[in-house]
Amino acid sequence: MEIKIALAGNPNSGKTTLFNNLTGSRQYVGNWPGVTVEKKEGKLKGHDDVIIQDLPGIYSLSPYTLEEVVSRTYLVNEKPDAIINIVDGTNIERNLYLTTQLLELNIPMVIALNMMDLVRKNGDKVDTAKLSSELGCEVIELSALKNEGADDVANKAIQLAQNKTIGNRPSILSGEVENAVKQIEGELSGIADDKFLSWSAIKVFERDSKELEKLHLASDKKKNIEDIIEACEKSMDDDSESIITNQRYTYITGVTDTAVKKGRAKGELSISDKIDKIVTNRILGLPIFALVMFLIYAIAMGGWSVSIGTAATDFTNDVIFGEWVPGFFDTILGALHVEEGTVLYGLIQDGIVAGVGAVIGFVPQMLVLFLLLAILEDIGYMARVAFVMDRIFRQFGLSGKSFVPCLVATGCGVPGVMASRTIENDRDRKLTVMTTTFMPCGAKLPIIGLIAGAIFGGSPWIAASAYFIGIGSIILSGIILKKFKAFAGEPAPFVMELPPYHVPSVVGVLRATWERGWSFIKRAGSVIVISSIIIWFLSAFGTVNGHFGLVDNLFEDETIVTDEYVQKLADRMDVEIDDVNAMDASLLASVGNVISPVFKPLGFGNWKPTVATITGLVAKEEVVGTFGVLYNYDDSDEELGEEGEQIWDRVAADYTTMGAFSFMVFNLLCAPCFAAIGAIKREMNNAKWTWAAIGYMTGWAYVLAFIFYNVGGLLTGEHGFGLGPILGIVLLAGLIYLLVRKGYQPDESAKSLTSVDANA
Amino acid sequence: MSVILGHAIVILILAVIVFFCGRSVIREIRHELNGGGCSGCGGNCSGCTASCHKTDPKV
Repeated sequence: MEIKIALAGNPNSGKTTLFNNLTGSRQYVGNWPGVTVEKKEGKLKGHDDVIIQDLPGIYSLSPYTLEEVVSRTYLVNEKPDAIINIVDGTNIERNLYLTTQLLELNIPMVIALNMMDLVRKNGDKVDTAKLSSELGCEVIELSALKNEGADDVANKAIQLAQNKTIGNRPSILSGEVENAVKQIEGELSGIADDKFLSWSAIKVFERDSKELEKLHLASDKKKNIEDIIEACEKSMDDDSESIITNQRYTYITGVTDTAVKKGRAKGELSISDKIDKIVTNRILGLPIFALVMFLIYAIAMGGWSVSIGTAATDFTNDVIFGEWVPGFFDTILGALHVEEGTVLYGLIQDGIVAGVGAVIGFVPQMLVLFLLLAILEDIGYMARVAFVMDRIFRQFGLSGKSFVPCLVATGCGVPGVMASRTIENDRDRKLTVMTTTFMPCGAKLPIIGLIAGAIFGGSPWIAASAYFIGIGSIILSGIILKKFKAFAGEPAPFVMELPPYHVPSVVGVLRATWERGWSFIKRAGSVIVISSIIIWFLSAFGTVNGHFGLVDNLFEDETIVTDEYVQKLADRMDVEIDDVNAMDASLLASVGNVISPVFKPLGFGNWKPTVATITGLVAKEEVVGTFGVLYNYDDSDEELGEEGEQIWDRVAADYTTMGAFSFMVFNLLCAPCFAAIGAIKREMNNAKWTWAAIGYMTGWAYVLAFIFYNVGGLLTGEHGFGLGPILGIVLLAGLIYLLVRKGYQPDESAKSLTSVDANA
Repeated sequence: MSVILGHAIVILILAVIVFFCGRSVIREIRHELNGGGCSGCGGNCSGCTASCHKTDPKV
């Protein structure tokens, strides 16, 4: 018979780490609360009939956010055979609050007292035998990070599930409250499930809307129950929910007084506290964060001697995809009699190898960046960043909770969008969904690497600026949008538990880095291969002076390519007659040329970047893949493929400094890839909001790129004063007005709609 | 090996790649546009495949 075991506990208590240990899964683990937003299932290693369910972290069984609903619904409605309640041993009092609620569910339960290594290090002592007898269920010590005690916990849970053993439930409530709950139990008898009668009665006493909705009580029952609650509230001079909370904490204090001995005197600072005094300092916090991120981007993507990411990427581009891979295919194709100049040779070398190579070439930079970010996350610094950012976010009406999705989005926008579920307020959640993908995700890194490397000589400032343009866009969008009626309202309070700093787990960090990098490589092996083939065909075939075929071959025929035709083509493509090449007559150039005027005001109105931008909608990696195919073309006599950087030299020749920067800004901020659009659609649950989000992102990207190109170009002397800079200044003034205007002032009702209510 | 046979082998290999990659890409894009991309993953991975994880219905 199949046994279902649920892992339940507070956020960041180590559920997913234990889940990975028990099931052998490789789910993402982050050292901040709210990483898991959906339940995940896996089979216990060595037990095919035991299903382990990892649930999002919850502080109580009264859900306020969407992911908390997932946990409560599973525990209450699907009723697992046993619960493993993960309790953070370093924060035992707060964690036991949920434990007291889980005990009321009458489901076999074992408590896994996690982070015991840290508890011992702090000099704290927990008497598990006493704790166990007080709580009426087995308590087992665990260190999920070091994989100590996981098997004992799982075996105990299986044993409890098989024997259906429920411990002696402690009496948590007392006095009048206990009586009131008993009376409500009497009222609910026969209506609520007998096994959950006590839990239902307590929830009804708390006026839990979900439980009341589920029970469908008749009006007389409702009145009787309301009378009982009101009498108790009157007598205790408090509201029912607070009464229960107080009773639970009174009970927990009694338990911890008996079973827990703190090693450190009250008020004494731990090492983590001392570090936090500096990194979360009101004045120093933000500059430290900016410096840390600058150094990370400089090491991963800059042009310094310590920039190991750039050195490895140069090697990949110049040697692996510049010499080895093309050489390998040359040998294979030569053996198969596929000669240079044929369609097949061009498709493989100039299409697939060039397109995939251009994207894969950036993997080393990406791996270094992800490795450094994973270390920062694992030691606990990124959780502090959310706290530091809360001060800034609060200024414009968002809470630091909105920054957590942004942190997640540095890997991929999709889980970033999903992480917005941890935000209680529906307006703030929508705003966060709309802006989270401004962060430069892994797929956008090649665009940053390309522009920083090809145009700016590997400047670390350009690479780091991409990160800060992302954060800046989120902040400025927040300020602007919060002034509109649809988003106006006070920010929700931000309470975030800062996990203690710890030495990063080597396996965990390497695994997180590899997972992200491997997903990227897999993507290059599917989407990029197919699109490289399509892009190559469309760029290799076309009509030259009324003759359709391979444009390269047609261009060599002087009877077809007349001076008059070349002049016409130069006029159509808006290039000098000497710059015209065969690819300008391709099908792709014709299509791109129709759309390219849209991007002309942004400084990259050429058909090649236009096509790259459009293909970036499918997957952002595709922008660089398209460049790899289109700029691999060379009509000079120079041997192709010997030096990978030739492609980037050609890219550099096609752009001005501000035009390239504007291209990067637009592609970083515009509508995200299909996967992220799908995630936005799912989270918004509304077509209008989805389109509004995509439209806003694209509009914002266009306006910002326009200002950067036109006003930036004017300031740097790249171009003179004219219509573009005037419009740029007008747009800049408009943005400033939107930032400083008073905006809509909401009434009280606008502040209270939660995501759970909005989605009900 | 004759030129024709060499070309036929290359075309066959390309056809197989295009077929399988194309099918996977179409499925993936369809899945992603329906909000399935990376669902249930919660991870910082870039572009999970459609079979990445079991997904939950919208809350």
